[in-house]
Amino acid sequence: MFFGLSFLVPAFLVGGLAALVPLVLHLRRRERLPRLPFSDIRFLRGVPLEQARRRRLREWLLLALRVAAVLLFALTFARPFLNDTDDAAFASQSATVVLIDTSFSMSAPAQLAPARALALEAIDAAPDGHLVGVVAFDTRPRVVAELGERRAARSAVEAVTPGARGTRYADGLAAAGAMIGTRDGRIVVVTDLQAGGWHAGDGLVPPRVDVIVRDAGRPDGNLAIVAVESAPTQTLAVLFRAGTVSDDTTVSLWVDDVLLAEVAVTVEPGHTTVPLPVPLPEAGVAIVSVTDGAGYGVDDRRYRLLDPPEPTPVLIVVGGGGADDGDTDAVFYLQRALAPGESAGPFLPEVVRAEAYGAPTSIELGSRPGAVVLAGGRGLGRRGRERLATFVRAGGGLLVVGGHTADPGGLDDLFAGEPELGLGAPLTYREPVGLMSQDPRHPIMRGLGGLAGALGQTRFSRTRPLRAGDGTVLARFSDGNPALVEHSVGAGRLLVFGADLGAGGSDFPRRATFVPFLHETLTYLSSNATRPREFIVGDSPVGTVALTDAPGVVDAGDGRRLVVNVDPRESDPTAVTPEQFVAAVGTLSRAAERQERDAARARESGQQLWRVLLMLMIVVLVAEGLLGRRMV
Amino acid sequence: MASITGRERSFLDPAVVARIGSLELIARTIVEGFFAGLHRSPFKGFSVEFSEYRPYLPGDAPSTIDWKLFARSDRHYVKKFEQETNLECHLLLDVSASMGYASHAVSKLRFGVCLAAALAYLMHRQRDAVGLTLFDDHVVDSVPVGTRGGQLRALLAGLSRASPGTRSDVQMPLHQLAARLTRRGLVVLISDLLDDPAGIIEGLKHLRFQGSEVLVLQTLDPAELTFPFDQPARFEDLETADAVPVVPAQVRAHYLDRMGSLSERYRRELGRAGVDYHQLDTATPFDTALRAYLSTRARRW
Repeated sequence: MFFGLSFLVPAFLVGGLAALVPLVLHLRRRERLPRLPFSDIRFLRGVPLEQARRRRLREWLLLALRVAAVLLFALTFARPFLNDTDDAAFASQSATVVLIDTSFSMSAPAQLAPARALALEAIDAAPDGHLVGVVAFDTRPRVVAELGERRAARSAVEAVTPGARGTRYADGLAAAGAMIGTRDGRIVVVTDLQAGGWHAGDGLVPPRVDVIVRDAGRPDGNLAIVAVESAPTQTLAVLFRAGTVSDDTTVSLWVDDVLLAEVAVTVEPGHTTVPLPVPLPEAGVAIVSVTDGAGYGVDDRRYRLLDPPEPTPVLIVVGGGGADDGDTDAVFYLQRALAPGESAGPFLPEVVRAEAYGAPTSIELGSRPGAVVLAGGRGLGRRGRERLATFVRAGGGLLVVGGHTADPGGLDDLFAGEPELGLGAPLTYREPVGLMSQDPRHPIMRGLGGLAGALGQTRFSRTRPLRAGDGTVLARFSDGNPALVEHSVGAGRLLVFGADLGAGGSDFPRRATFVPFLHETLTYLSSNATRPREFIVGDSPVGTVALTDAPGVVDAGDGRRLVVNVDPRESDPTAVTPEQFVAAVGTLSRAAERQERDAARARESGQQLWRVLLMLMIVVLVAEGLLGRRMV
Repeated sequence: MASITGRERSFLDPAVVARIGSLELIARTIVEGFFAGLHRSPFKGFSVEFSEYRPYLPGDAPSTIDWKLFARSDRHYVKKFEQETNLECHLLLDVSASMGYASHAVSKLRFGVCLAAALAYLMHRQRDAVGLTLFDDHVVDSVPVGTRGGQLRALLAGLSRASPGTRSDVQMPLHQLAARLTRRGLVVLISDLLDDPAGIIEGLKHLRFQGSEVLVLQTLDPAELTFPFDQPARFEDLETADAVPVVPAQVRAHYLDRMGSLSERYRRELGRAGVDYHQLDTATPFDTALRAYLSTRARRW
């Protein structure tokens, strides 16, 4: 890199040595002019000085042009490009960054002190003249001491403590590499070499940086509770014992601070499921804990939220027209399917007329719907279409039911033709057609499981075949026409069903597949709106809820409770060897190299400086030709 | 008017003559070829022919008395012959290194040797006393002036020994010759005159001051007159071995201008001093030089 200029194929710069050829030829030609005896050269010496000087100047200019042409040739093929100013910043002083692991796998008793000692040793061992910085990392890297004096780095190391997060080496290494930047330098990683730390993270290590590993050690064993499962008559606690020997422990179940069960067990290495003789209640927060004196503390307790999930609001927009239309029929079955019986189901359907949905004085819906079902679409005015389109583009899910009463023109205007919903003319069959899954890997079909095959038993006597266009066909009628087509619209999802969902044109509502189909479909459509309730320490939940960096129960602020647990993968202290660790770093370095190459290629392709250099070379060659002709 | 046929001219062509080995044969070929072309020679009466009568004076050899005239006139008259013009000819041939230059078959020195041989032959035939001096920056060889029988052979032998020497110093032999001349005579200088022109002119004026007639035959190579080179080269001075890189196209005009100025200076200043000056190139037939010589001689004697 020269003054912000880099090269995609720097090997071609070697071709610049060819610039020596005209230089040598020039000098040799000066020396190797043929000798011509002549009687008297005094009149030849008497050439006017100015003319000789001009010629000499022209000779040097000619030489410069020839050298420039060769250099430009080499530069052109080296494919140069300009770096960003930040990239081009030249940092002369080398650096050592101590990257210290603060994941909870470093929290075993007597584990932190050796780690700190190794980090301090690394600071002291940094070569003279190196700037020293400290980065602490778990799943998130944090600069605890900027590059500078060693004293600040030492103070920062003394202050670090392990948290409850997991390990992501790649992210930590990337942060340390970024701190080194364009300098020469090295990263000293102080860690327990936990193998699980390589499973996540997408950071890369600059290829110029050396990585040195210091093993901080790990406990001989660890006992953790990694899952709490519900069974009809009991509660199942899944324990993980790391190490080579069994361990005696006591498993306790607490619900809202009330001890419900306590069992003493001997846990063998590996996973063990321990049944607790009480079922989990319908609501509350269950805490299952174990006793473990030697391993990590934060994974000895696991939280499970028992409160029933809040139903997903589903808005059913029903088309206008007479009471006899199929849309009303469809709404009936929809409501029954989404909210069966008196008990609260996973969905909270709300019906609104199309005219009301689009009217200026339309009612404000209580909360943002998880999904919208548009049954028909007649009567949906411009404002209603705009509202629906905005909802979908913002990430919402919409199911358009293209029954025989649907308004194809109005529906095609829904997204201004992008995409076209492609509703064809209604078809009526003497021999009813069935429904066939087209994409068994799709979440809807996968969610149906074995019921997906049963869709074929459904009988449709009236359909409205669809044109898939750019969409994905998820299911077809048995006559081959698309029955369920998915389109992507902005951040949202759009599904178009080419038949009624009422009983008028098919027996679908009376089939066992109807309710699961609708549930899976609306679950899929509302997935963007579903609010998770259980988190891993370090996860970033959607919304404004700020989670602590410790496991436990968190008040979401809207009446809901959330639970936060540690990452069960972090409970396994199984380590890689330092050699394996360095090999893994090498993979990141190579990936970084590839990434740098790709970025360089993209930058070079965008700038295309070679075209400028090629033009310049042509200009130089033309000038050389003109000047050379005058020199003859 | 005299005219020379093609065959005769071929014997005057330096390129042809230079291929002849014997210098005496060269001289004879040139001179005979020259005179063969002169059908009506404007120079008759020269040579050994009768010139005039004068009254017998005591001391004259009795053999010189024209007895037939005595029988008719009863007076003693003495025949005065051409050899008795008592002309001393001095051939000065420049054999400096620059005279060795040749852009074609005939070098300036070879041309000068042939020309000097022809002049010597012609002078000897006219019974003139002829001497020869070969010089570069000093006198390399010399044959004293004489008319004896072996003089021509001595002259040609001296000429045959001529080879390119070192640096030229033309004025040196001129001054030396002027200092030792006791009689007026004819001095023929064959040189490229590529030396200090002021010194050369000074030396020639010295000879003129002594009363001698001077004929200067500046012998140059055609390449020195036209500078026909087109490829860049290091031009190496034959006398000094100095070299200078030259792109001919760049210096041609300048060179020809300087060369023309030099010739013009010689022509102007030597003419003013009464010196006959002729510029010859080595491709010029020898008759031009012989005509110049005869013209000079006829004008003076």
